[in-house]
Amino acid sequence: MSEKVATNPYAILKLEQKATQDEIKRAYFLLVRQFPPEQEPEKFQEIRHAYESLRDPERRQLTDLFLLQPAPDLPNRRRPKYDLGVHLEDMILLAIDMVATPMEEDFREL
Amino acid sequence: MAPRKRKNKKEKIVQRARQESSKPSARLKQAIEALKKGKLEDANLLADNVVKRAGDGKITDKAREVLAEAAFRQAAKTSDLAMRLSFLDQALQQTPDDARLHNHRIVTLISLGKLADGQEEFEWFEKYGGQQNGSQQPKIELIRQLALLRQDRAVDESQLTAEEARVLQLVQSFANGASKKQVSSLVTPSPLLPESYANLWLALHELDSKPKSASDKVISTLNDAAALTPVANYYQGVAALRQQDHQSASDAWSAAAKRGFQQPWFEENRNGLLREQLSEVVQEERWQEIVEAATENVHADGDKFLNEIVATAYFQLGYSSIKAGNWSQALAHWQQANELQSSRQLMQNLAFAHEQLENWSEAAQAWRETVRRRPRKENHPDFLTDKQVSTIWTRAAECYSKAEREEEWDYYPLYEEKLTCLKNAVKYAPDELALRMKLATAYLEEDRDDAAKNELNRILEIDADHVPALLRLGMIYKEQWGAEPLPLWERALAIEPNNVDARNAVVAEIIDELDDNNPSNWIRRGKPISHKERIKKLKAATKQIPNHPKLLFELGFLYRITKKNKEAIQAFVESWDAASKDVESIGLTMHELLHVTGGDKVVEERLPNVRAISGLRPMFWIDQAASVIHCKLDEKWVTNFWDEAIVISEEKKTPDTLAYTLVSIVESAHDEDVMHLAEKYQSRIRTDMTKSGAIEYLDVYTAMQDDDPKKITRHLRQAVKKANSAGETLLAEKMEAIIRMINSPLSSILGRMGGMGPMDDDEFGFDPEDILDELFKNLGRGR
Repeated sequence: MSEKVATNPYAILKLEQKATQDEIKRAYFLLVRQFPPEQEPEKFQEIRHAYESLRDPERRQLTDLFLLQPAPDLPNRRRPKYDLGVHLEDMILLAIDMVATPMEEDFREL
Repeated sequence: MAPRKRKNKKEKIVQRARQESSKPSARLKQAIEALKKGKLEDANLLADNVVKRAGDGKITDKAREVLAEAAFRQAAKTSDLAMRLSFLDQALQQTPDDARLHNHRIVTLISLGKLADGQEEFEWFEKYGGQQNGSQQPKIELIRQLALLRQDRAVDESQLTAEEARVLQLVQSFANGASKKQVSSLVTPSPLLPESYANLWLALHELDSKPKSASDKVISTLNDAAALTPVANYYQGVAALRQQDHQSASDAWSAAAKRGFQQPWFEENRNGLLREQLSEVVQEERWQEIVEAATENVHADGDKFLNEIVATAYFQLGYSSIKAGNWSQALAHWQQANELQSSRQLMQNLAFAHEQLENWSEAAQAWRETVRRRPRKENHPDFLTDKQVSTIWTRAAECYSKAEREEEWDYYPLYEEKLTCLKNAVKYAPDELALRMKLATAYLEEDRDDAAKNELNRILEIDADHVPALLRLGMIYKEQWGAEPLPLWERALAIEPNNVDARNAVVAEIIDELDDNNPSNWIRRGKPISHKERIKKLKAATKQIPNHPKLLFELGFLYRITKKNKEAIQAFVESWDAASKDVESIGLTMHELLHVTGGDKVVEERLPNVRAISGLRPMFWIDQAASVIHCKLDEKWVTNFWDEAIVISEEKKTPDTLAYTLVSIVESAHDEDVMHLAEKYQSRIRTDMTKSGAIEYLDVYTAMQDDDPKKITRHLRQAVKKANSAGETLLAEKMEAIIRMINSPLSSILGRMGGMGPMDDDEFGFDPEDILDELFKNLGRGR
């Protein structure tokens, strides 16, 4: 996977891209407790950097612009309404099919 | 002569045969043959050729019949009713009075629901039909009545036979809600209503009278009648769906579609069924299956809901491809998704994929499309702020920049696109001065100085203390006659006294203004400037810009040439200290100190500092030695510096091996004509570097003087081999570069001008050997 995808701040904070600002904050503090700076300085920097790019909504908007966009939500499952009646038009077609000469029978030898 | 004659005869026969076969009558025969064999397109081409060539007459009439027949058979072959109509029209163009064509055209028009067009055909039959082949086309009146019924108009049985009237009544019974008994009485088998059809009519009547169910018997009857008509296929599907049998419905409707059944309710039902089937697959995220189903069911192209599902599937498949590291495939999937349902998010992903694949121009276009597709209403969840829009335009401009770099010759259109993007970026973020700077820089790239100047002035209107704008504007002024850059740069320096660019710009301008080699300075001043005055101005400048190495160096130089040794040493030392990590600056200062009486002691004292510079390479010392030789300074410094170079290579902290350094020293001595100083280094090569290829290289150096390029190349190739085996990478690279140069077009031009050997300066006005020497120097040298 590309570097840019790998450094997706949402992925680092283990969040969905539609996470709320509160969720971002909570995820950050949770991860900081897991990876304290004195024990995991590099991981902490990565988490910090990801958080910085998302904590301010305006900056987050710009960060989001250059991330892969998630697929849209699945379309709602709707049971289609079928028209299962018998149509007069179809009966007319049936009658024509029945009485019309098949085209093949009208071929001519030249 | 006899065989020749025979040959001529044979050629004539072949030629005649060719001529014969190209005659319209022969072509016509071929067309008829093709028709018989079912090669309808061939028949069409051949007959068309006859019509075009034969003019009017019987042959043309016959050819037209062939064309009509071929088109008629193509009409019969296709299940696409629109295409069938088109073929019938083609046929009618050739034989407009052929009643059977009109007859089938009516049937096709009614099937397509084009009843108004059908009316014209009935009128044609009224006018001419009776005279066709001496009899009325069969059942045309019944078809006319059926068409009237379809238009919900009054029908008239008076012109129908009893059998035909019964068929009409049978159809009417569906409109009238007739009972089973009534329908049964109408479906008595007859030549016009065979038994197989009779059962179908009854089954359809049952489906009509019980609109929510379908008995097994009905289904069985419909299955039996399926081969008769696509109408049966359609109602097979209806019955199956009434029993919740989706698969059978799908199969039956596929068959109906293949046989050309077209009705709006059929299309709706079929799309609905596909939607329902795909929805189940969507829930299980079987994306590939969705895409395959969509490919098989091309009828669903215009269905918004289906497009949405399939686009989602392609979107997801794109993600899967990325997880597998396949950006090309992801791009292809997203392009498919975009064709079905475009969105800003999808365009962003496309842009991103193009960037990953370094399709910079396409990436830029996709970013632009992202902006274009953004919703304009502020309350829309995908609304983009002006800042975001500006950022995307900037990104597009950056992509064009990268595309520009890849286009060697045809970059200008991309440059124009980049400018457009940057202008748009500025439009959406007019106060973003860094962005305006980018635009100004882009103007400067193509020497659009006036546009750049306007942009920079706009920046300064917004922020009068914008240092980068002041510096850039100064650069433009510098290029323009009569404009003074110094006040702008001094202003920048006053705002940011430690700004490196501002310091350098002011210093460069002060030094330049004191340079009497520049005629504009003479003109401006009206007289040459004295050393004393220069020193005074430079000293004043050192107060304005303290610790600037170049300024101090320039001051030291002036003191040196005016024999003020003490002051010169002090200025050079200060310059050295001000650029203690700048190797180039130290090299120059060190050299100048060696020119000053007493300066050599300072150099000696400071040598440990130079040795301590991290990453210093032997070539630094070899160049220092070359400068000493050049200025005819004390020769002891030459060997001192060469020895410093040897020490570095022996420490093995840089890629320069000892053999490479020794070779470089000998080359330098040779260039400066002081080979006597380099003897010990040359001897060391011959005694200690036997496996390095360096000895062979030195031999080549001698051979070059003997004017033998072939010998040079041969020796060098052997030496390269040896150097590579010994791990002497730099030496091997140096020699490979020389081989390439010797065999380059430039070398052959020089060869034609007089070979590789030394040339007489007077003969051509320059010495090609010097050119080669220059090229040698540029290869493999440097710190």
